[in-house]
Parts: sequence; C-alpha cells; structure tokens
Amino acid sequence: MEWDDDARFEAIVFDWDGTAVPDRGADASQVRAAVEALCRAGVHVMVVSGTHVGNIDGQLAARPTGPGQLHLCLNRGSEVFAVGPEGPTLVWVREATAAEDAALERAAEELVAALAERSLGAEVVSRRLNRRKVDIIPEEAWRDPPKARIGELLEAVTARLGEAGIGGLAAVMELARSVAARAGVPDPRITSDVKHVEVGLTDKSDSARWAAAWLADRGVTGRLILVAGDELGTIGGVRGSDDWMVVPELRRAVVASVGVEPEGVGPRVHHLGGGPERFVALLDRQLALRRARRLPAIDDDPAWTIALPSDPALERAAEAIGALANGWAGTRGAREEDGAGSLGLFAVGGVYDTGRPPQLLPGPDWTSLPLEDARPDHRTLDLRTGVLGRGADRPGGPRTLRFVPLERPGALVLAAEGPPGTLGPQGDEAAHVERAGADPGADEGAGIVVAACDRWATWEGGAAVGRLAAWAADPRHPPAEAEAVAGLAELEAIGFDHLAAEHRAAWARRWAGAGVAIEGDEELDRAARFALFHLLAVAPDGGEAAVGARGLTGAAYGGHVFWDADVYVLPALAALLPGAAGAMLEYRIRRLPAARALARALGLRGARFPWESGLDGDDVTPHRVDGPHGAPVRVLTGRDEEHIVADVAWGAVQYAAWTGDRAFLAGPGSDLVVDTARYWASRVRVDRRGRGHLRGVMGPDEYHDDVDDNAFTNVMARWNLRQGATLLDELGDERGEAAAWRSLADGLVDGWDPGRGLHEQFAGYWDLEPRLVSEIGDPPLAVDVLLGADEVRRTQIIKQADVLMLHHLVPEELRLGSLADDLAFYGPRTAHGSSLSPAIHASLLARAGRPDDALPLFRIAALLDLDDLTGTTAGGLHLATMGGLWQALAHGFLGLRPGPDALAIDPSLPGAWASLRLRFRFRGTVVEVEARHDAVTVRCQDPLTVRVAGRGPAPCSPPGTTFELRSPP
Amino acid sequence: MSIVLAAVDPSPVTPAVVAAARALAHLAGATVDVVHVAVDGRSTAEPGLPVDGMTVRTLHGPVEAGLVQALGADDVIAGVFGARAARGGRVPTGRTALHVLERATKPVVVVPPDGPGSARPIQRLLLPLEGTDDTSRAVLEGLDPLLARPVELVVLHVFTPATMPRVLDRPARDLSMLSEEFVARFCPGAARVELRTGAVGKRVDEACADCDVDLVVLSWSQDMSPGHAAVVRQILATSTLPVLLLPASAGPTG
Repeated sequence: MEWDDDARFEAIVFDWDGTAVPDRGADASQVRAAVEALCRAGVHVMVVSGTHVGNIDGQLAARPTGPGQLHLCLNRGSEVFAVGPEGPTLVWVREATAAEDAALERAAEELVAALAERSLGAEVVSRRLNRRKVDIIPEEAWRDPPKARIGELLEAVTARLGEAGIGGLAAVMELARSVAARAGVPDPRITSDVKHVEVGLTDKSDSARWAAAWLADRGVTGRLILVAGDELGTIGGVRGSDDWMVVPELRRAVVASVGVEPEGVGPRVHHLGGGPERFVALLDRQLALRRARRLPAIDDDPAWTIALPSDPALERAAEAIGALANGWAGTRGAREEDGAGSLGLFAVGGVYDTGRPPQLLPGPDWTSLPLEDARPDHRTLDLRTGVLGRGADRPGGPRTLRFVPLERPGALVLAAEGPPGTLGPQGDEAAHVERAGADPGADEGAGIVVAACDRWATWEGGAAVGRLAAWAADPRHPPAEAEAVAGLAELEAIGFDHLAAEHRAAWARRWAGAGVAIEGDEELDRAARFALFHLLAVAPDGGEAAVGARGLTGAAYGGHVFWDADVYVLPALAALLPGAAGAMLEYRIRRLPAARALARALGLRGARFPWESGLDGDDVTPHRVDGPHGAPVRVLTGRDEEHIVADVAWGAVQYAAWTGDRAFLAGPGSDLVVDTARYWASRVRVDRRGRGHLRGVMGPDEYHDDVDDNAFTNVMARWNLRQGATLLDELGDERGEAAAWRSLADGLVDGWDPGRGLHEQFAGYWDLEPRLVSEIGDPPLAVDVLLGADEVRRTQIIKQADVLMLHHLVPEELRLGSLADDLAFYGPRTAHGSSLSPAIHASLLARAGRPDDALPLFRIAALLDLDDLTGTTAGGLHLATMGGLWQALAHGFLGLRPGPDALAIDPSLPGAWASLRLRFRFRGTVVEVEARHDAVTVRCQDPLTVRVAGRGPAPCSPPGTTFELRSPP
Repeated sequence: MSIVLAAVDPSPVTPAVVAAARALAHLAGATVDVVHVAVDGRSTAEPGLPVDGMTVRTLHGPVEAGLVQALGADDVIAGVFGARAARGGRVPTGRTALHVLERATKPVVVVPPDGPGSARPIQRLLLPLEGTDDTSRAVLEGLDPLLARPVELVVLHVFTPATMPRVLDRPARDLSMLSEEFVARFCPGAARVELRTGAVGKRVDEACADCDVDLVVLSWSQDMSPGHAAVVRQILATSTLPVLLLPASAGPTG
C-alpha cells in the first residue's frame, strides 16, 4: 500500500506524545501553527492522548478560530475538550461511579501485589480519571524515557520481566486483565506504553469512537480522515497504544505511523517514520494541498457509493444516475468536456419554458471545463455527502468533483485538477454570466441566469481549478443578472473548502433523520440507499416544490407533476423530510384556484386537479403526442384519470398522519381535502336504486380506458368524500354538506363481488378475455406494445396495481380480509408495465405474509434505474418508483402505519434478509425501527407509543426498546 | 479506384443487379466491374446479356470459386449478385449466391428476383438493428467504407418478447424516448429509428415501404445452415429491395 502524498484529509486524528511532539517538554509551536492554520482551512483536528488537558493544552496552546474545530480527546478516552479562541471547554466526560472507582483501586493494588509475588517491583504511580497507572520499571534510569528510545525501553522491561520469570509485557497485561475482572472493573481496558500498565474504564478507542461519531455527524468519514500515531504496530507482542485509535468506525480511514515501530506495523498502516518532524511535515503538506486547490477525496464506502455505468451506450442513463440536486435545482452527471452523446441538464424546479405543453427549462451549462485526456475514467456518486467524483483510470490523471450545496439554494460547486496538458488553458478569473430562457428585456417568460467564477492554481505536477457558480431563476420573468452575481460574491467569500464542509455536514444532518439498512443483501441495501438519496434531494425543505415524474434528474415528460408526486414521493418524504413533503403540498395548495377553475369549466364544483400540471396548475397533459413512427397518438389520461383529485387529498392526509400536523389539515391544507370531496360530490351520478357511479374514467391501469365505475377511482372518491365530511365536522359545515357526502360515499359502488369474493376492477371487467401475463412472457412486460392497445384492452391483463392499489392506499375502505384473494387474482394478471407497479405489489405481498414472493418485485423496483430496466432512465430517474420502494420497505416489510394513537409496526421480512432497519421521522421525532425475524428494536429520541405485531399500545422510551416477535424455541 | 463487382448471368435479374451495382458504386465513390463466369469452356461473355451497354469481363473456372476469388481482389470493396430464387420461396437464394455469400470477405448486395431495375441513387438505408453494441458496431463499421456520399440512415428495431421494454409508463412518450435512446446508443448517425413488434422479415418489408428506403443493410455471421441466420433468411426471402450483407468478421476495410 503506497502512501499518497497528494491525499487531502478533512480531519486529522492523532496521538500527542511521540507523534506530534517528542516529549512533554518539547517546543510545539510548529504544531500549534499548523493546527491553527488547518482549522482556518476547515480541517477538523483531534488530539488523542492519555494525559490530561493541562499537559496537552499547556504544550499545544492552540487557539483556533475555525471553521475547522480542534478537540482534545484526553485522559485515555475519558474526556473531550473543544478548543476555541478562549481555550479548552469540556464537552464530554465519562464519569465513573464510586463502585467503579473502588474497583479500579482494587485492581491496581492487586496487580502490584501479584507482580510482587513474582518478585517484580512495581508501583501505582497515578490515580487519574477512570484509570490507575502501574509503573513496571520504577528505576531512575527509566524515569521518563523519551518515545524515541522505546526499543531500548522494551528490551529493558523484557529483561526485567524475564528475571522475574514473567514471559513478557503481554503476560503482564493479561495478568492485569484477569486481576481487573476479579476486582469488578466492568469491561476493563488494559493498555501499556511499555513502562506502564494501565487499568481503566476507557482507552484511546473511546476517544477514537467519539471522534469518529463527531466527524460522521459532519459527513467526514473513511479516507477523508487521517489517523496518525507512533505506536500502531505491536510492541513486545502487545498491541501498540495508538492502535486502539483504529476502531471499526474508522476502519476506512487512512492510518499512518511516524514512530519507530520496532516490530513493524500491520498491512493497513502506512509506516512513514520520522517522528514528530515528519508529522509536522504531514500537516504542512495538507496546507499546501489546499493552497494548490487540490481536490478533496471521496469516502469509497461500498455501501454508500454508486459507480456510474461506464458502458458508453449507457452514458445518458449514467448522467441521470449521477444527477445531483438540492431540491431547488439539479444538474445531471454529464462529463465536464462532454458534447456528443451526452444529455446534460441543469434545471431549476418549477421553471418551465413557454412551450405548449411547457417543458422544464434547460439552464446554462455550468459544468463545462477545458479537460483533455481524462478517459477512460470512472465516476462515483457519494450518497453520504452528495458529491459526484470523477477520475481518470490511470494514476495521477485528471480528477473532478462537483456538488450542489444542499442548504444553499442558489449555489453550485465544481473543481478539477490534472497533470500538465490535461486541464486548461487557464481562463480568466472574472465572473462569467450566462442566461437561458427569456431575454433580459422581455416582459415575461421564465429564465435562469448562472454567474460563475473560476479560480486557478498550479503546483509542480499540474493545474487545478475551483468553480463557484450562483444561479437566479424566475418562472415568470427574466431574472436579473445582479441577483446571480450577488450570490456568486457571497459564495466567493465563503470559499470552496468551507462550502464543501458545510455541504457534507448538511447531508449528514439529512441522513440523521432518514436511513435504510438491509442486512443480508448488499445490492438491495445500496439500491435502497440510492433511492433515498434522490428522494432526499428532490424537493426543498420548505417553500413550494413542483416535483416532476423524473424530479430534477432529466427532462422526460417536461418535468410535469403527476400523481406520482402525491401518492408515491410525498408519503416517503412525509416520513423522511417532512418539510419537503410540505413543500409539495404547498404546490397543490397554490394551484387550487386553477383546479377550481378546471372543475367549473367542466360544469362541476370543487377542485379538479389536472393529470399533469406545471407552473400554473393548468392541465398540461398533451392530448396527442407523436408516436415513435411520427403518427399522432391520442392521450386520454388527461381527460379520464380523475383519480388524481382524490390522490392529492390522500397525500395531504398522509402528511398529517406522519407529521401529526393536524393544524395543516385544519388550516392551509383543508381545501385539498374539502374541495376535492366537493368535486366528487358533484361528479358522482346516482342511479334510481340510489347507487353512485363514476362513468367514463381511467384507473391506474391505463390498458383499459374510458371505463365505468373503476374500483380505484370510486373507492378513492368514497374515501375522499368521507375524509372531507369528517374535516367539515371539525371545521364547521357551513354549507351543510357533510351528511350528503357521507350518504353519497356509502352509495358509491366499489366493485365488490360477493359471489367471487373479489373486487371487480371496473364494470364489465369479468367479461373480458381471461388471459394471464405468463401466457405472453415474464413480467414486467409492456404488453400493450407487444399485443397492441386494442388487443390488450379486450383482456383481463392490466398494466399495474389498480384494485390492489386500494389495498395499499386505503385498506380500511375495503372488505376486511380481501387482500389475499385480490392479490391472488390480480397478481398473475398484472404486467407491471408501469414502473409504479412492482414496488406496490412487493409491499402488498409482504403484507399478505408472502415476503419471499415480494422480493423479486422489490428487486425490480430497486434496480429499475441502476440497471436501466426501462431503457428510459436517460430521461431521468423514476422518482415515484423510489418513493414506492420506500413504501414497500416501510409499509410492506416493516408494516409501519401511522395510527392516531401509536405507530404500528408489524414486520414481514424475506428469509434472505437478516434484518431491515429504517430511520425516519414520526410526529416530530426521529425513530429508528430495526426488525429481525425474532424481534423488533425501536430507537427513539422522545417517548413514543407503538403497536408491535398487532398487540396493544406499548411505550417505547429513549434510547429504545426491543420487542420479541415470537417465543424462542 | 475502388470497384463494385456486379456478377451477371443470363437470368432476368441481371438488369437489377447492374442497376444496384451502379447505385452502390455511386454511393461508395467506386466504379462498376461487370463480370460473368464462363462455364463449359466458353471464352467470352454470353451475347445479349442485359447490362445496359456496360463491358462484361469474363472469368473462367467454377462459378462459385471464381466469384469468391474476384471479390477478394484488393480493389474490390463490394459485390452485387442476383438471388436466383423465387421471392418467398423455400430457400432465400440460389446455390451460387449462397456459396458466395458464405465465403465472401467483402460486403455483398443480394438483389431479389424482381428487384428494381433502375439505377436510382441510394439515398436512404434501412438498418435493422437488434440493439446490442456488438451487432450495431459490426453494421456501422462494415458500412463505413461504402459511404463516400451522404446517405440517410433509418434504423429499424423490432421488439421481440425477449427485447421488449419491460416497462412503459406513458407508452407513446416512452417509445419516443426509447427511440432517441436507441439512436444515441446504437447508431448515433441515424436520422430516425422505427420501433416495431412482430416478425422481423415482415416488419422490414413494411419499413422499406413506409420509409421509402433504397437498400436494406444487415451484418451477419455467414452461416446459413439450419438454425442460423434466421433473420437474414427471412429478409432475403421477402425483401423487394436489394439487401446488403456485411460479413461480421470482415471488419472495416477502408
């Protein structure tokens, strides 16, 4: 393993004695200067030592001003101090109980006694916080040996122990361990610096774990961290004291030793040698790399990184997979020098062109760079920190890195470096402004302006550039350049490194409230995390969000908003990023006037949301599109898929259920439920027998259009009417509508056929040709293309979950116990010709107690974009499938349901999974549910009531509670 | 100067062969060399061959071997043959044509029995592609040396149950998207792609008519034994247009 002198670290965790300074009396001014400079550059510094704050702070005396932070992790894992301009402040301490202290005392004394029995003189030399230190060579010649003489010290100690008939240092430590255990020290930590053996409650691993957790909270993990020490190999057969810093949490960190290491180091440690002088040089090198604008690294954790497809044929799909967004804007993962074959896109949410129908307005290309000889290459999407990295396959070749700052709406960041001749020519460093959309002088029309500035640097091995860019956009008027230019000035003042650190930390915060882990299937584990990553970036955490079917990852369907947003994406965000779900609802609320106008235009009341909408909320569904052969194809969805009216209301109610925000439904969201119910009340036709009908509609199964009494539409309308009535009861039923709505809902036919014990998908469905998908091919299959729309319309083959979608969305509206039979009937008739279908079926199969049958469909949904199963990922990622994936995990496999009094949990795991863990927000608090086959552990920040596996309500207290699922055999 | 070899005989397809050779030569910036293989010891071309006034060069020896050898000449970039079989018949080509096709190291145009006899310039090619990198590359690389002049490429992809898109959310729009993606992936120079379902041969015929193409282009492995080259068989059997067969193993020659 070769040491990379060009590797940049965002955090340095290091031992003090022997690593940073040769001894306690040494001058540490060089270390101090480097530490303060690193902190100014945004690097986090952690000093790890067994000694106390007086010793370390007295010698280091650093007073960093940030933004990187200095921590002193001292007293061998028992204390942590944060150091600022005013000096150290204690931020964490492990406090021993009186019993623990007494046990430590006993252990130390018994160790001295046990050694004395072997004629070895030893002394308890210090009684420090949480530990006792025993000197096993209390001789004047070895009173305070410098670290550089550790080899000689070891020889002396070994000889001394040998004279006493003790096999070596390891034997003393083993003796200390058994003595400590006998003395009652819980989890005793035995360490040695050769001269001493310490018995403690903590050791450097506790310091390292604290440091790792603190850094992870800021998105600094893996090889972004350097762990440095001088005792990382064994000494006298005993694990070196600094090796305790290499905890599992830092297993992907870069580890280096500047020590003598007389017995060598393990394979993952870089043995640099050179002592403190070398260490100071390491720190200075880090500063030099920053001055040269060298690129930060990406933590190549396989569970958190996605390698973009390298097959040139999949380039455009790769660009979608590698898209980055922050909810406000998104940019595809196109290469910086790409032209032909690329489908780059920078788009701002909700900003459309003036076409009919409108399309997402492509913004200026801000990622273009003069880069040569950069291929073959590899691109890596880092899900943990929202960064897309690229590197030439050859060592030392060009690299690029980009991100869309998560919490800075108008910011974009790109950096590149390369050897001579690959990056350049160096441009000027003045701000450049580019515009897309309406001309500056125009009265109206959307526009996007990007102001960008490149900062160049050269070093002995090449050139580097950092580009900061700021955009301004307006969906109705040409935006002013000045706004983007001002935004750019702000970014320039912050600087690349600080923006990067801020961005990492922002993603860490986002992941703190959202997470998934599937133990037992690494591919699905990563795929599910990939889905969550894009969901977490699809909408801003506030304001309003027009979430198109492909989000901001591609231009397919013009960026129009479909039911995908309300029924698939929104419920996931309600649990993962409630503010973003709220922004999606705000989009609907602000388009209520347009929905009311559409209802009026149809001669109806209430609000009729259109099947596809853009900026204004008008119906932008194309009525005809050009088919692949150029012939026009009629599109009926805009006219017939009325169920979106109830879908919008359902999304609002789901949001309230997950967030507990009833004030939303009583306030700004009330009309989403009431006006949609009012629409259905005017739309339903009642026959002479008092039965309500909805004629001429299309359900989610688009193979069968213009049908009567589609079960999905009718039952969703019934649910909507009942919800509206309930809300009117709460808010005041001024028009006296609630009772009529309930009556109308009760009379709506729902397709239930008592004779068959099934729901009929629509009137006349039973009379269709009873074909199964398996007679044609293996699903998923676009049967309409294969057979032709007319032929498939005559069969019972359906495109996607329709009746079954009701079991997923509103199971309480259907006959109790009807899921299994509906699933058995419609499952074999479903072609899954829609990307929305597999995840929902997987969810229902899990609910029906068939989790192993659910797995293949879940896998299709999980890999839909990563494997480009549709061939259309180039047009953007299928965000609704990703939302469906979350729902399959949450509702299907974990059985989560937000009840009025408790969170219901009822796991149903596939046999191949050892566990499934989801982290989400429920009513204002972060909850983590981990299900195994025999137990569920619920971890929470605040007290919570849960219902596990159908049992009664049970309290769950922080930090968590485990519930057995079945009795052990 | 590159040469397009036109193999003629006294059959009725000869005018069409000559016309196709002229059209191909125009496209490739080549000249036409009309050859006839004399059998039974005759030393000159049969009189009265309908070759539109062109000079006929006579070759000697066994017909198949003679044609293969002539095709192998360095300056010959392609050959044009008559299929010598009834269209829609049990076998797609005559014995001689089959022999040459399976052994030729150069692209060969097979002219159907009732192929067009006029030398209309080739303006539009139909490229049936199955949608894999290897097969697409074989077609484009094999075709490249023959394209000295601009020509419009129309790609045809016929879905089978195995190659069907598994998911189509909004079929009309998704198929358009798939078309763009197909062109980007497999034939970036194509003007457009036709996506169809059903039997390939039938769809090729339809596309030829719908798109008004002049030549069908296929890459093949030169193995017409049973169980192989099913698509080539279908197309040769039914096509009313000349079919250019590119030996998959030949690779680029220019």
